Amino acid sequence: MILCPSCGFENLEGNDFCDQCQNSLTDLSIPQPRTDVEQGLLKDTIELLKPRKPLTVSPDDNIGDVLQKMVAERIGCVMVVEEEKIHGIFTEFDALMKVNTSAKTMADRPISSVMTTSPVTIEIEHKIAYALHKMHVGGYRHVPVLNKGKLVGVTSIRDILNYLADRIVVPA
Amino acid sequence: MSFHLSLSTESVMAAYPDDPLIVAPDATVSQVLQLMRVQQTGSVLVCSHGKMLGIFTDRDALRWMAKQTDNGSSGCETQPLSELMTREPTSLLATTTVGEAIRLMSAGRYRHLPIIGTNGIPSGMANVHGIVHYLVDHFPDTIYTLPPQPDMAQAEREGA
Repeated sequence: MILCPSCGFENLEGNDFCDQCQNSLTDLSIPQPRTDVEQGLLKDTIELLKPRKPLTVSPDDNIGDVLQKMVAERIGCVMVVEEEKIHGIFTEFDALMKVNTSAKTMADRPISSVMTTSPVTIEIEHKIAYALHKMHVGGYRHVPVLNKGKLVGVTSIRDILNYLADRIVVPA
Repeated sequence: MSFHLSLSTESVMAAYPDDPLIVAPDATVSQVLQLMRVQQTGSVLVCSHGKMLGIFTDRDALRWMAKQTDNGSSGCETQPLSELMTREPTSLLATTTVGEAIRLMSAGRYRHLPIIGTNGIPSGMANVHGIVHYLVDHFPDTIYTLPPQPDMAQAEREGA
């Protein structure tokens, strides 16, 4: 049921015009952000999350070095980059799923054999809502951030959680 | 506002916690890593006689794997998990509110928080994806109706 905003007539779902006053109802089907948080998600860009500079490795680097780098730098994911083009991403979860207990025997293999190829990326001027959409629908923890096709950073689901936590004030 | 209200009243159990994967403290690292791979999960709880002793996550697993690849030090596959787990992790009660869980997760930089039931037995694992799912449920129009690529939005309405 659609309530006509001008005369209050109860129209059937899907009507383009009000049956009583012929007022256009088409704009009512466009979702409107209802809260400040929603408005912010649609207005703020990824830049506001200050994407961290990613740790990059080359596809030929071996798995052992990459694992030790991740532990030393205390980070959860590395970007596999060649000639400024992003080839893949390797995260803690990839390590658990693909390297697992064979870390010792796989240590000398190239990282390109276990990375996730062509990850979902996002442009820095895109809105935060898109990043949230991609992470939530795809179940990703990290999304590489590009600026006109060039890798500039990485944003994580925790950055977004912090963003939301800052804006959704919880009365103690 | 209703959204704020529900964050401070609704229990963390509404924020899609996972079922906890529980292992014994004497389980070996290689057993647990394989279990995590099969279950496709990033965290396990280490429990003994229904009491939670610690948590072992993919971060700890990464540390162990890095040690394995380092020739200098010796990590061994039969090492019991109790030597590698994080002891007494921050945990939630089933009555903890979602707002409090978000605050703890954000402040402590945790991705997983075990939820302890009234009988002291772990009953769930709150995780960052579940919390985000819960939040997105409050504004589905903003998130779910987005086009896959932002540039696909048309400037003008199609048709006559």
